Amino acid sequence: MRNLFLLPLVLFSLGINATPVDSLLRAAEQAYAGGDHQAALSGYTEALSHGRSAALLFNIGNCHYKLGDVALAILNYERALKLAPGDEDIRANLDLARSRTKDRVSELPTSQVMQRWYRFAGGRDSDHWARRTMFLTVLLFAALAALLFIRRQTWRNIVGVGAGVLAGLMVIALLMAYVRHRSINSHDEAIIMAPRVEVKSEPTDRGTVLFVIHRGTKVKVLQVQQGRLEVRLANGSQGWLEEDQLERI
Amino acid sequence: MRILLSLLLVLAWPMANAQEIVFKASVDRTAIATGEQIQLSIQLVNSRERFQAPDLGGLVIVGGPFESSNISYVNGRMSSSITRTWRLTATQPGNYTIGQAQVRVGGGVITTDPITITVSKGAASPSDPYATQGQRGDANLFATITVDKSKVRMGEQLVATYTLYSRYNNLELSKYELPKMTGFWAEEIDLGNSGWEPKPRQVNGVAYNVAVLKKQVLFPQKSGKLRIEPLELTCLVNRSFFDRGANIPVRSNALEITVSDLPSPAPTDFLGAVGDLQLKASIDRASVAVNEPVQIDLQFSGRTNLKLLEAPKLTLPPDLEVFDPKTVDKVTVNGGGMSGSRTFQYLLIPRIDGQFELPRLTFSYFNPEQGRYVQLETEVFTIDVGGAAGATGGAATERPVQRDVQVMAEDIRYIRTGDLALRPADDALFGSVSFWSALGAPALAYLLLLGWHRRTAAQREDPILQRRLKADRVARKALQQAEAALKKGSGADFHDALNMALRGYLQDALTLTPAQLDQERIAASLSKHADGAEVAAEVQRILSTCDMARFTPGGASSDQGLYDAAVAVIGRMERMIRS
Repeated sequence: MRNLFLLPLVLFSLGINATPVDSLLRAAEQAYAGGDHQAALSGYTEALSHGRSAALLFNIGNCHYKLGDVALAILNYERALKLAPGDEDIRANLDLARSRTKDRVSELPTSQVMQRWYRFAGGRDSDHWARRTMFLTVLLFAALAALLFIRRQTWRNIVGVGAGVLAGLMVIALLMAYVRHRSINSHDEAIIMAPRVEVKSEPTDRGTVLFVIHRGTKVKVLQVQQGRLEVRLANGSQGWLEEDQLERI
Repeated sequence: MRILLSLLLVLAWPMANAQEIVFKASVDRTAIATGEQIQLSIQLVNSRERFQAPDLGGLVIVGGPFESSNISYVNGRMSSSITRTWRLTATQPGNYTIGQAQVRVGGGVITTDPITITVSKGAASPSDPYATQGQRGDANLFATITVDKSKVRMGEQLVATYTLYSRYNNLELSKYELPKMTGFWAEEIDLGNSGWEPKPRQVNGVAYNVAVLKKQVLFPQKSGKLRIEPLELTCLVNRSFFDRGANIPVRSNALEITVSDLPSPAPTDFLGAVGDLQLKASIDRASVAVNEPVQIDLQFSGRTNLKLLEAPKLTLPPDLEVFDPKTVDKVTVNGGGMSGSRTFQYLLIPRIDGQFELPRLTFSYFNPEQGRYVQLETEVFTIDVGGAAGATGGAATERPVQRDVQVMAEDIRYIRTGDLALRPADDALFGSVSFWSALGAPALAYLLLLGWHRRTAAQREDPILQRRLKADRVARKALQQAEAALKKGSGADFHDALNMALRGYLQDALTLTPAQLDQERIAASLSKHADGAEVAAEVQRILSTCDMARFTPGGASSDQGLYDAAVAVIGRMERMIRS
């Protein structure tokens, strides 16, 4: 059943192989290996117009890192991480890139426990929880159907409890799939792109400067008013800045 | 004769007093350029009074006064004159006025006329501007601070010289304090046993005795405008046996040094050295036994602040133990600045045998003359480490000292290669039609199954319906027995089985008890169907035939036709009841 759902994916990737994207990726890969990070970056960026994936965004982040632009590297790692929250490589590189920004407000490096949770919550890919939900649904109704025909009380008990567990798991999987879908499609986090940003107390020029943050720092966008954004830092500080000073993840 | 002469003198004295007294000042020229000299002569004729030099109005005495006197007899009349001469010069262009000189004669005062001197700018004025400035303050005694460069890069060395200029013959330094240096690393240059320079130095035409008090090599440690405060000292002049002398305070000029930052970004292997450097690396031997030391020398030579040069960190393979380097300096500080060499001697001890390659060490310094960073690098050394000296073959039982794996550097993980599984950005399984239908389809299938199951269950619950539904199956079973009897040719058994089959069917299908199986009831039950009467008659015929055969003594033979008729009538009834 699971493989059946994977089938369209497999067909899709076969379709990709037939296009010039594959040779584009291979050329970028070779450029990166040869140390020409600029060429690799332009190749990967062009490939981005054909589709995206955590691996591609990860590679783009690596190119930016090697070219010395930590902020753009962080942005692409964060985007990659949204698609694959459990990917250890992305997280390791993101932690390293974060340690090279000017502001030290960002989160602590990922712990082992959290890494496990991310890997569980993230699934193998962005559709993993949706597929799990579908699989569990089929199993659940199969168990319910079996209950109609089973006469022996022992088996009825076993299958009944199994169906209950399956129903619980299905609800959890559905919730996780929903949360994953939401987090992939929400753009309420952003990376500061301006070299120096004065965060003000009001969405106007008159506002008092509350604090100053620098390129590469991650913020959460709370609301938008008059072309300005209210943002919150990882340490809880809040204030207003301008839209063009950041790039949404 | 001698007496006569004396007499004449005595006689002549009153006559001489009666001579006219002349007092006049003159110069050899009234227009000079700076640095050139004029001669001022003041002549007093026919008087022996002392007179002082007039106010020179800013002109500086270079030489003099030289005094000459002269007595002459002209036609028996004696006249005498005293001439005092000064050599003067001017350090600055402009108009100078030599004031009136005065002399008291008898009851009155005679003055000379003032003289105006025009000084133009000299053609070449090679004099030090600081000395000129000092000379303007006090033409007899001043001090200067000079530097060889006033615009430097951070860390670039410059030499500051503290010089004393004096025109006094007798001078002692009574107090002297070097200015405090803020923002500089200062290194004193040893001047040896220095005193007054043997040759006087000319400043704007005026000769001075010059003593270099001190020289320092300065290394600016921060950028911006750095100020060197004035040198202050007190000199005791003209002290002699007869005179206590005079204390004269001297304050030199201050200096401002413009220090510019080094260009950014600096190379990563730049440790702050600015100047001109060479690097020579050497290793004392290329092959050693385990635990035997190897020495690596890194010799930096050239002109820079060698005393501030830090030992570069060697990046070595982890199994080489390295000790803090020993520093050997051969540094000289002289008028040219600081130069020489500094050698770092690293002692390495290989703890494991094998071949070790010592990575190339790079070192960058900033060269201010070229205005850029210059990178020096060493060659790559290879050390061959043999087995432990004096090893006795017991090495396998010895446990080596285990250490943690050393992390030498951090870098990002490598890119993903191969197929990156690109997908369109809006392609998500969750929320898609196939997702919801994959959730809905099993639910729908289950509901259908449940409906069907409910219906069959309801049928199972109804005994009459069950009986009727089973009637056909039961009858067929009984008919099979009849068929078996038919084949055996047992007539009694055949009719018995046929009778049982038909009666059983009628009971089940028409829901009748055995007692109710009479002709009227059967006919009544079947009458509501079409052909009911005909079927009832047929049933009646078969039943009565069976009854007759059963009660016929000796038994009737089995009858294929009757069997077929029974099968046919059961089939007809089944169709009738179902419809």
